[in-house]
Amino acid sequence: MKELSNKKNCPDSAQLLSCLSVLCDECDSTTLEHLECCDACRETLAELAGPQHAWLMVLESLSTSHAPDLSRLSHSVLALSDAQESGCLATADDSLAAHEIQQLRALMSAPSHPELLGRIARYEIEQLVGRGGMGLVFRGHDTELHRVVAVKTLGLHLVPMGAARERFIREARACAGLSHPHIVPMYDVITDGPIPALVMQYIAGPTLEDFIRAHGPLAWQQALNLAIQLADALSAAHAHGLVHRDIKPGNVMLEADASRALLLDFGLVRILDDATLTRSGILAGTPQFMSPEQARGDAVDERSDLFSLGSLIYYMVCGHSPFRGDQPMAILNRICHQAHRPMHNVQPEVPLELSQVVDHLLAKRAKHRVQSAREVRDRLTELARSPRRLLGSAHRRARQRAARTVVICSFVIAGLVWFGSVDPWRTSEPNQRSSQWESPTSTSAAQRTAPKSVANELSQSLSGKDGWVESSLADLAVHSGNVNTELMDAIRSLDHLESSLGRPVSFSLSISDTFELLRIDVSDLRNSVGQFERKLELRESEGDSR
Amino acid sequence: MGQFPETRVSLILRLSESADVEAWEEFAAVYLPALYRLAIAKGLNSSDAEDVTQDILLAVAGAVRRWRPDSHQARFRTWLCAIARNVIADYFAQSAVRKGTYSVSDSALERICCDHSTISHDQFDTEYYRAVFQLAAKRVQHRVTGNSWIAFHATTVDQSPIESVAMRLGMRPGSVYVARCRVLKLLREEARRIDAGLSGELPRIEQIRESEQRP
Repeated sequence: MKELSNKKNCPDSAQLLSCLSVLCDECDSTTLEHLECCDACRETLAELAGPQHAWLMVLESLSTSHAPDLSRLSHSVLALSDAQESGCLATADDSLAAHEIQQLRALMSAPSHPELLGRIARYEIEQLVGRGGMGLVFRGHDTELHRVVAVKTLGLHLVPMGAARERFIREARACAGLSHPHIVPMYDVITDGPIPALVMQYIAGPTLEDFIRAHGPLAWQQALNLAIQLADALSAAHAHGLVHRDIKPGNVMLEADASRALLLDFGLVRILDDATLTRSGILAGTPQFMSPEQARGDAVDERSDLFSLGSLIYYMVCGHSPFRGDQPMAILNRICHQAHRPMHNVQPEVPLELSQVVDHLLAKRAKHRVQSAREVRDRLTELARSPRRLLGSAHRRARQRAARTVVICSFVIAGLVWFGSVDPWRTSEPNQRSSQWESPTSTSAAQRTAPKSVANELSQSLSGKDGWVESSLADLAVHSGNVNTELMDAIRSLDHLESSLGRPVSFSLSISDTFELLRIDVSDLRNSVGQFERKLELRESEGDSR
Repeated sequence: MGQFPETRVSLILRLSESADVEAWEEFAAVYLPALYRLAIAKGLNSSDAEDVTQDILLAVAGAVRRWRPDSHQARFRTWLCAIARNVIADYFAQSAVRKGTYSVSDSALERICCDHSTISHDQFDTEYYRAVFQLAAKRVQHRVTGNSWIAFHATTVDQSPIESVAMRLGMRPGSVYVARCRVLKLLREEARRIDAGLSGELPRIEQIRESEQRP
């Protein structure tokens, strides 16, 4: 009936289809009116939107209750697969880890699931995810609170006993009391079972060390951002009376995009000290980020962390620590006696101000450093806030100034090094010293015997810039046999220089790539104190004259 | 999965490509609920179903996240289904061992073992398309204007009469007709887009369903 009666007025399918177009806001009222009375057109419209079975399928799908929110699951799969794939994982050929796991497994309670490794207290141990200085790190599952955790086992030789055990528990408790967005939260300490362990939040990201190894140094802006976070974390910990003692890239966890950093392992080094120092006298791991007072084995306080933070910032920006060496003892020696090469010399785009903050943190004596983490954070924050343009121009100005600097004063460092002469720091006024540079040189025994390898090795191991090879006393020291002793004396006398100036200085050596000129830059925290050039007569050893 | 997976290039590198994350999120948004419901349908309780789902995805995660739409997707889906079958089978085997209930004559166990090994592709596909449409619904819902979504949901899913819905919403019945059809069209388009994104081939959604509808 209706079909018949309305046939003439029925809109064609193109008209109906246009009703379904998103672009059409509202159909004209004639069509709407028509739809209200014409079954056939309604059916056509529905068919145009989708065939019968499509309607049924939508009905079926949408009336089925939704699965619970599984986004948490999605994230954990993502994180776990990351952890599996990231290079920081132990590999199959890590036989040492396999061996340790075997040892540990024997001590763990039987797992509730055959694929798990075992159980420590209420934590199911699922998988090895890393290896730290003190033992293995596992991903685990808290069977009571149902959350993924990181379980850090202590190597069996590190099991604290007696008073050390008390302190271990006390420190761990203090760490557990720390709540800060940039400190990895500690959940639990297990001391009563056969395997002592620390339980903390599981973070899937890489360590700063892994990240920089994979991606190279960070842009200084990003490094600055992370440094502010870490300084803030340190200031919170220091306020609790906790000193970290082991700030290094391996103890900083990053979130995937490296915009957020979390500090790990507060106060644990002390526990290790208790266990290892008494045994071997040598601390495991690299000392590259230690402070001079730590390297000497002196008492440390918060300011030791600040030195390490300085090294860490340096590492983030330059891709390597300020004090490098093949042997731990060489590194320790440099940390204690050698000035680092200023950061803005390594990475020219780094603002001088940032470089100076790091210099200030890397002062050899604690009393010359920035005195609190809070102050570091504030200075860095201020830096981050200043417009980049300003930083850039300030930097340029400083460099121009440095370039214009004529010899203001001169130190007879080369004389000391190559001529084995008297301690120069006690000698007279700068102007008088400068004259010594013009004086004719006499060739010393050391100079004569400076081995051939110096030039070769330096040219191989150091990259040249503008025809200059940045060098350092220690580089020279390492590379040149006989000069070594004199160089070390010179390095030690830098301490005297600091005392006589009343402020810390840093200085760097450059050697022209032809090895004919030596340039020495001496600067205190704010200014370049002097820059000198000197003709070198590095002789080849054993009569090989140039 | 070995305890010590081989060292490979870090995925974090690839995570920085936002396209990869998007692909993963879309993938997870569909496959997680599909696998979860599959596990529930096999008689697992919710927390076990979550574990199993996680294990399945973890097993394929490496491949999944390297995955880009290409012509091999049919094989991928088959493969995923096989993994799901294995993980669920393992789950039953292990929970039997764990509870110490295993015995040869245990008919209930045998039934379960037989049952879980029969996850068919149809079952899997059903859950898959269900999840696709649910995801599509979630997205379209926020995209349509005014009362369109309510009009669609009330009349299609809740199957309320058009007139009463129109009255409740203060719309004219004609507008309700148009609105529900419009939403359905959008839903189909979105579902097709999701399916194409996940399978890298022309959508077969309705072809399959069509054949199911006509036994």
